[in-house]
Amino acid sequence: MNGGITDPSDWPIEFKSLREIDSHLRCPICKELLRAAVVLQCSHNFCSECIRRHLDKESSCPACRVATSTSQIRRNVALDEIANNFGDCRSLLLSTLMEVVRPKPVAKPVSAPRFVKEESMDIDYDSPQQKRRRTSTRITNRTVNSSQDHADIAMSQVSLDDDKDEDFALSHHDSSPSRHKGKNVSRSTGPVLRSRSGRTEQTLSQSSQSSQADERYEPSISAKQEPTSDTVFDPFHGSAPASAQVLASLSSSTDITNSTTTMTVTSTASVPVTGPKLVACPICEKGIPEPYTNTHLDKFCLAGRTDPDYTLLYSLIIKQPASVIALYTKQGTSTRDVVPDTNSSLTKSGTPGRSVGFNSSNPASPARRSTMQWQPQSSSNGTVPKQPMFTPKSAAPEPTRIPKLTYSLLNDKQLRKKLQELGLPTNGDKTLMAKRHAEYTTIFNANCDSTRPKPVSELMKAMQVWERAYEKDLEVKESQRRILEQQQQTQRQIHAAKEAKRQAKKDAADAAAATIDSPEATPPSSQSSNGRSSSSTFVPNQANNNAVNVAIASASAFAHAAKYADEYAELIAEVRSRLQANKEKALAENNTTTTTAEPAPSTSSQ
Amino acid sequence: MALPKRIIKETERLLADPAPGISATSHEDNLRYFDVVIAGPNQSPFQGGIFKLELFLPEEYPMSPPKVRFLTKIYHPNIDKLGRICLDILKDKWSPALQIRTVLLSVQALLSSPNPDDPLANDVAQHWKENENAAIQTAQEWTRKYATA
Repeated sequence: MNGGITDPSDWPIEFKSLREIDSHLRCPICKELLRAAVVLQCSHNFCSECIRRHLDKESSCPACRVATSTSQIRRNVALDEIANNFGDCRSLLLSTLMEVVRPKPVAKPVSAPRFVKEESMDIDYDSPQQKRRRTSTRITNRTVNSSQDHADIAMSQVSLDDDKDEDFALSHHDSSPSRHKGKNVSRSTGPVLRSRSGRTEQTLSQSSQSSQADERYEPSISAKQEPTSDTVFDPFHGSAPASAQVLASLSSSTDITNSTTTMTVTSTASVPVTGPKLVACPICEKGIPEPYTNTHLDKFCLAGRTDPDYTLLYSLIIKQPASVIALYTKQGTSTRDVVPDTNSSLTKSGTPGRSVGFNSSNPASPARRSTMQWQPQSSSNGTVPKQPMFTPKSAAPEPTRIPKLTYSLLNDKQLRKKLQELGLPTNGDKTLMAKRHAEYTTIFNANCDSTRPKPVSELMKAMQVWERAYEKDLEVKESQRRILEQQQQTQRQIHAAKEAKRQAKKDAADAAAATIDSPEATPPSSQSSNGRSSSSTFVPNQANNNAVNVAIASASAFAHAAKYADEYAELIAEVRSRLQANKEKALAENNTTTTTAEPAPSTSSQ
Repeated sequence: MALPKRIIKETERLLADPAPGISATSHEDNLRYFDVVIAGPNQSPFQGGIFKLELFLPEEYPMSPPKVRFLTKIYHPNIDKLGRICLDILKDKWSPALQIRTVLLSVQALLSSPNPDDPLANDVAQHWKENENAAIQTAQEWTRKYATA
């Protein structure tokens, strides 16, 4: 489980157009599905919040770098609706699709579909939907099937044009070939043919190639014993009712009658006419017609009941779709009766008015709709099919956006007043107040662009979260600053120590030079060739010894040098003392210096 | 601050579907810090080389660009001896619509087409301009010397 991380690559590679749709519905900045979609003059779309944050820093379109400004932000209502509704049905659609595309040999026959992808998947599957299963399943499979067929066609059409690269390569990246393109082109036609030919082996091998997505979505049901007929749909498939609703809701947006007609056509084609193949139940080992394995397991085998005559049921199903569809079409423009469960459970999960897409054929024109306000709908008033789900708010003015402020021109008092007007806290210094105001302005104005605006109370909650994050951030920065300061301090100490040492070296060199400047000729030459390095690291007095100690403590490199320095120090102290003595005994000097100079080469070679 | 979803997503995608010749893995203890390896592109003086880079996503990412630096020594007019890279999208031409993958692809492209007219390492650029063949030879030598494991 990865906490609702979604990506266009979640879609099976066979459904390239779905990947495209998914990636087009994403904000190029946050890579999430568009929230409060807005469009710039250059026709690039972003989340309102994202683009506002960006335009606070720079005045160009992130996608094409054309100069722009906050004032050019326009709402893109239709796109926002599409993104919202796509987001609503995404995980359901995906899991349904995954079960269809990548049927897995069963490991656990027990049903109860699990969706791990998104929070919006918290739909209660054991609720009324289950009861409805018997009626809606028939529609379901056909819907799934037909939609797949459509998708196949769409894919083969789309596979040719592939200009769009989700990675948004800038002009100078063009030299490096985008792997994306190649991959998609080469793969796009294959799967279609394969799935038509009815071989799952290939589909399965495909599934292993493509991303881990399929592992994530691995359907826990899909009771197929042998993956031999992947084009055949299991009519009693676990998540069937849900998928029916989603797909119905998708297709209902234009003309439900139309899409049901295609459903009927494909349904007869998709059901194996030759009669179902018998498959051994993994538990009771009884022969069960393949499409009924799930039903058998869920309702009879595990429940310990005797199975009904499947052949009878089977024929019933084949004969029945017309009536079911009639029922479906009668409900006509509002498919609400089919969807209330999804509806209510989604509303429960936080966003009011999720059911918008199901109602799209009602008389409200899109233009009019934009000025309307969403109202959470109770499913109890679903008796009148054509009642609009949202009540028009006459002449509802677009909420006024908060104007941007030039904080440098305001003093604390004025800024505090501005915050007070917005109902925001006024504590903290001017920087904090300015940042708070800017943050609220951004989220408030972004909320104004949304077709599903949140109440102000939620914005305030978001501000509290921001407030806490800001404080924490400050703390982190403060501690980082302290660490940096400490580092700088130790660096300064090291520097001082180095400085002291350099001074010491100089002194030592001077001292050595002074001693070397003694009248004799041969010892200095031997001293300079062998002892130069030793005299440069030589530390003569107490202060310099301290400096060496500091250096040892602060830097290991210095420790190394200092170790040798100590050795040399002793050696050279000896040399010096002898030289000193030699000065006094001018006569014996040649003898003593040659003997003292001898150990020097041996130490330097150490 | 919690790690933004976008960073998690990018990290996952880089692992699941790496761009050819590029690998990027984030540190376990700091998910904003990536170890990057770029293979020297074919038909470039860096062919056959394996170049290590580091990439860091600052707090403001994606509103501000990632910080990228070569760790492997490289003889390139737009990369200095500290490994810093002269690439517009890492500076003023950054856009939040770009991502780690595109940045690394750009770096890879920069290896294929050195631009001595906009140098960062002046001596290398000079060499490149005066005697391109010799410069390329040096680059190949450096690649052999430093960029082969």
